[in-house]
Amino acid sequence: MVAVPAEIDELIARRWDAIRSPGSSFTGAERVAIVDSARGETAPIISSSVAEAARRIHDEPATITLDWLDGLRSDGLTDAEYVEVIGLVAQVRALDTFEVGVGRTPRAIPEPIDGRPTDIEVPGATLDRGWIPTLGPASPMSVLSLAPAEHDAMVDISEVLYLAPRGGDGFTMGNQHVVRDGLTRSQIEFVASRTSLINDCFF
Amino acid sequence: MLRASADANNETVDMRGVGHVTVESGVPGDAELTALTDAVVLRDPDELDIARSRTIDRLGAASTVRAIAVAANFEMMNRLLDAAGVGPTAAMRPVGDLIDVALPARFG
Repeated sequence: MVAVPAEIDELIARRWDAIRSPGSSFTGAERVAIVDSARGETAPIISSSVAEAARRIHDEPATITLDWLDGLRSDGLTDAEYVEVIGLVAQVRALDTFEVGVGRTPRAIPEPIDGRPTDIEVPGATLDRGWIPTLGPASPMSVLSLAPAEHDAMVDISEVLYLAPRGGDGFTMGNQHVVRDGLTRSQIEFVASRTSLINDCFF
Repeated sequence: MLRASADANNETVDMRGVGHVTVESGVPGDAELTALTDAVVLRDPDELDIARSRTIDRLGAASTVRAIAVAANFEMMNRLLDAAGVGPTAAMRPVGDLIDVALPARFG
């Protein structure tokens, strides 16, 4: 096992606390069940379409098609629910991958926090280049428009594990000369490119 | 982004090295980073211990942990984009030629 920077351990703790809390469409118990399902466990308190979405996004994201998504929609899955599932599962995949990568065991599923979903509405989201409504053209910075808290979580994770999406100085994507923990920008992007290639993702 | 960072830093990078382990990309430590990334993303426990150890020897422990963190971040980003149906833009499509890997059929 290797030493992990405090900022990454703090990120992991912060994100798991948010994961087990009520979201925009799901309760804390349902969100925890979605994570359980993504990891391959049976989670009876969520619908089969939510469980199927979680598992597919976690295990086989490159095989996802619009026809498959439309099938989930006809089973009753809403776009807001789907976006929250995407955000949750993608986050957990990042956190678990990091833990496994450094030689640790992924966190156990936590106890959920009680409370109601926020049921937040996002006016102005439309279909624009993607399969789900977004604020502006679908892109890494807009795909989670319907679940603002998951968008914020994605930015949080990117800032700590990779580089901040905004800005031009320091540990930001705009800084082509950045060196983080001794890793040059080209080395960082080499790892990013290789990861995307393995995942069959070419954005 | 790799092309942009290499250009900005006046580095010569052979993008084919991203997809082909027999091609030296010119990125320092590329062989170790490739093996580490593959083991991390594919969660191969046997290869992971070896790859992590070799990357530590080549680049140091802090850089190795950062490389694992970057791979973890893109595990997230790839899923966000694939699940939302966001493929490469027209400007991005030549990336397949650059790395000498055919784009999947779903991108037309």
